[in-house]
Amino acid sequence: MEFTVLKNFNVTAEVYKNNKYDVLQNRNNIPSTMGLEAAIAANIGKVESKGIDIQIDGKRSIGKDGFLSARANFTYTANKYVQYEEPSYNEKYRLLTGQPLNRNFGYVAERLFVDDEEARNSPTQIFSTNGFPPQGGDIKYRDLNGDGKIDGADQTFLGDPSIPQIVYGFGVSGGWRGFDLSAFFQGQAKVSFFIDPARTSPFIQSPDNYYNGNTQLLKAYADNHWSEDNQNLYALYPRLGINGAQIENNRQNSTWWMRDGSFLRLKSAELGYTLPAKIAKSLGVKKTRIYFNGLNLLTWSPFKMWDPELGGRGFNYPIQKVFNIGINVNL
Amino acid sequence: MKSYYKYLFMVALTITGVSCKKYLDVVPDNVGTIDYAFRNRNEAENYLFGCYNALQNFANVQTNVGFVTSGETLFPNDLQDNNSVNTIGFNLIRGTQSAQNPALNYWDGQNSGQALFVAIRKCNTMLENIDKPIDLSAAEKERWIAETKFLKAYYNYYLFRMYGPIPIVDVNLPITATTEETKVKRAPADSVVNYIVKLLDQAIPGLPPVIQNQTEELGRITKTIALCVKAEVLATAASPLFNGNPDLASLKNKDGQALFNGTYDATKWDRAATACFDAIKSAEANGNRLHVQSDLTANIPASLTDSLKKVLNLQTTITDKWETNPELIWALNGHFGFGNQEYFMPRLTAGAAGNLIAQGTIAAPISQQELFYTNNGVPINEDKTWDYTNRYAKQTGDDANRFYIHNGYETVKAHFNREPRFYADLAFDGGVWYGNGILGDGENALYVAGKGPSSFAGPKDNIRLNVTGYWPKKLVNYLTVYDKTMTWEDFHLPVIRLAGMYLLYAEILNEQGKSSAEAIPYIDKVRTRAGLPGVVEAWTNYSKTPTKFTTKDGLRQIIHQERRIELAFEAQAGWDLRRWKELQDVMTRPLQGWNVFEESFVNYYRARTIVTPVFNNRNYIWPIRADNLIINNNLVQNPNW
Repeated sequence: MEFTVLKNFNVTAEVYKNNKYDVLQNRNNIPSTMGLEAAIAANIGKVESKGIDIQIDGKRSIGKDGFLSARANFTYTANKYVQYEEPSYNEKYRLLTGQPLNRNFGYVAERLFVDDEEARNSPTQIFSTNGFPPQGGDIKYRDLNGDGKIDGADQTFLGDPSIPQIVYGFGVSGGWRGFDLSAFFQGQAKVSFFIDPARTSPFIQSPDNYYNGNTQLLKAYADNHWSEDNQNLYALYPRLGINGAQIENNRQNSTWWMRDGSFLRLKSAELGYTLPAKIAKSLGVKKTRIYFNGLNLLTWSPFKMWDPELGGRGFNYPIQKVFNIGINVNL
Repeated sequence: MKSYYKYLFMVALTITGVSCKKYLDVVPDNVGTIDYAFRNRNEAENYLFGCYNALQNFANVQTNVGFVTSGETLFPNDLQDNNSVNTIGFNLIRGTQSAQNPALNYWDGQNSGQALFVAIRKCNTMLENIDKPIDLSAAEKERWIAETKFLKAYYNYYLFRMYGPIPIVDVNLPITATTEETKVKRAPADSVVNYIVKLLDQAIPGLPPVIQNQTEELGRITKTIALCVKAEVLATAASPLFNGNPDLASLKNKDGQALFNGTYDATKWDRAATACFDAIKSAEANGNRLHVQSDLTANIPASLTDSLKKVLNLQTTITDKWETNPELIWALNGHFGFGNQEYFMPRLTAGAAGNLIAQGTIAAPISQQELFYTNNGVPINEDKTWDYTNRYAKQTGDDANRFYIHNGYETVKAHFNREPRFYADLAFDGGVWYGNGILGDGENALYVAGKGPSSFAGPKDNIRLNVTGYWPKKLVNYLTVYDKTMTWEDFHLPVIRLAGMYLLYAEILNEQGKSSAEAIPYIDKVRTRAGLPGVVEAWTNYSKTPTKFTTKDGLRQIIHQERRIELAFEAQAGWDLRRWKELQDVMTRPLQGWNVFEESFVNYYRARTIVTPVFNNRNYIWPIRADNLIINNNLVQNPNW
């Protein structure tokens, strides 16, 4: 669908629905007792996606001396597995069929354990990579199937997909007399991510073996963590441990670490001034333009600890803000 | 095996209803097929070795149920770095097993277990196609069929020991089988045992009595190996875990078929007795005998003192070369050297202390140390002449004991006057270590000093330490040298050796209800070699319960302890304790170690608990991964999982 608004602005909007079928997928209902060495794959998957794409661009002049141009795009996609071969779990919340693609998966965290006593009397949650039972200050997960223990069967789909469902951007540029200004914004929404507790937990060996020594401490964790003195059941960071194995309980994918990854960013902006021809001439040059521009100037996001575009690893190299001031002289 | 994958994949694609256009639906040239794998003798032999593959991987003790869940060894779970030790199995005693995601899953081949049903399918494929190679002689064909049947039996036996009743897959289901056909049911335990024994009986006549071409074929299955395994299978089936175990009697298939016979059947021991007798006869007829002092190789100095010769004979019973070790009936081909020995070895020299190659992190708890007899050949708490109550009081090494405990070194009483196997199997603070490059008469032998970080063997950091103060010395070759550098002298860890068969036979005879006079000679063979008086003499003269061996129950305890000592650290105890239903008893006691960070005698010899094991009745057999029960709704889960 294409149409024009306000004389000069062209809008292109597309609404689509897409059905993919015969997607190659490993068969998941072959018992191990068959003894097959290689997984058998077949064209059995079905995925449905629908979405909307909108693009707007346009340009018009304002009076004699000015112009304005704008451009925007917006994409929304919703997709889901219509058919995915998986074991028919008794717990319906584990089924991938019907779920959006790339949706996050993990435990539902309730709060932190009040004390060791409470941890002992709660559904057992011992993560099989070590034998440490949880203690006071560790994350308490919800026993979704009510069988008295927390294990893989209590994991479910959480939040929004890890790939944003909405991506948008818009920019304007305009000029009046010698001045020009342009700005470009970019954003995403309906996306979730997990803070990576294995890599951000302080004072332990990072799972990445190229890090020698222990991980650093994030200020946010230093300011807000569970400790003997500050037994805040909703602290940002649960009980500290001296190595990864001791806090394995807290390093699971769960809602405790899940965050809204949406943001809107002023990706770039530029303000310029071109000297009037007369003055330029008197200086002996053809054209002179003075400008200021910047990249990644402002970000609005519900997640404040670091730039949400870094994802779960707060220690990654951050996205830089760049400022330039320049003068452009044509002789 | 790559070629086989492709073949399977192609078949899978064509039968699952891919409707590509005709021009896509062709098999490219040079794609391996099953026919290709069996087109001649060479290719077929490769396939046979593929069938052996899963077997050879059992050589890794870190993923062996018999080793890691025996209470013989432990691995700390709070090290900064596990230094490539696979902790999945070691953590099981901490109660980490779950049906959602079982550790050491030999059913599906996950979490450090091997996919044994894949191995079984390979054997079946081998048997289906063995007629194809055009240049295979009849004799060789017979041998290969026998070997494949043995392997198939052994994989089924391994699964049986872990899971109890298992589905029997005697013939491969075709790849075109319907979903319903693939949903196999578990067969009752007795049927599984009979099936395994039937396969072994079919295999035995076709196997060679001994390996003639030792350089190329050592490690391939002989008649004696198959006979010994048959005896083990039948003894396992007759043992309390699988014979009339009330805890498992409730297990039924969905159609109501009982999977365990709830009533005890004593005749199962009779069947095991015959099999075990045949196995021992075959071993002895083919030149197997116990390893004795005269087998010590020529490079031992003649001046070596007698007490150390005794110890060394016991060490080399395990570490001698396969070709020269008359006691070894079966070992796996994996070399027990680099990647293994350093986890069991203490640092003995200044050079070693400055070079932390060896971690010695796989430790033995105090309870394992206390298992070994006194030098009179009776348990430490039964010996009238041994001061049990004050065993952890201070005693200084003296001249008389200088070949066991370093002269003048302060250690505890418990380390004195123990049997030679104690000194052969364990290294401890003050213990003498003959070897490690110093092969004199024994007067200058090295010793372990383990008190605190300043000692050579003590903890240097939170990565390379032995948390109990006991190292399983048995698993280190005395020729391995660890100083500024480390040189490993490999050996093959035995799977079956004659001493074990003697003790198994003694156990079976006793369970059969035969008189103690019939069983004891087999125990005494092993005890004599270990430098101990016979059962009758030892108990009569030294034990507080001098008539213990005269009752069936008393003799059973003697045999069980003897077997646990003789086969300590050989990845046997975990299996034995399971089939005896004694593992829970072992696991009710905390696994303790010394206070290894302390420098002074008083503080070092203060026991601290390293692991409080979690072991319930259900842990005797493995859970089947929960997803399997959903995929195949004819399967039933083991009790209480």
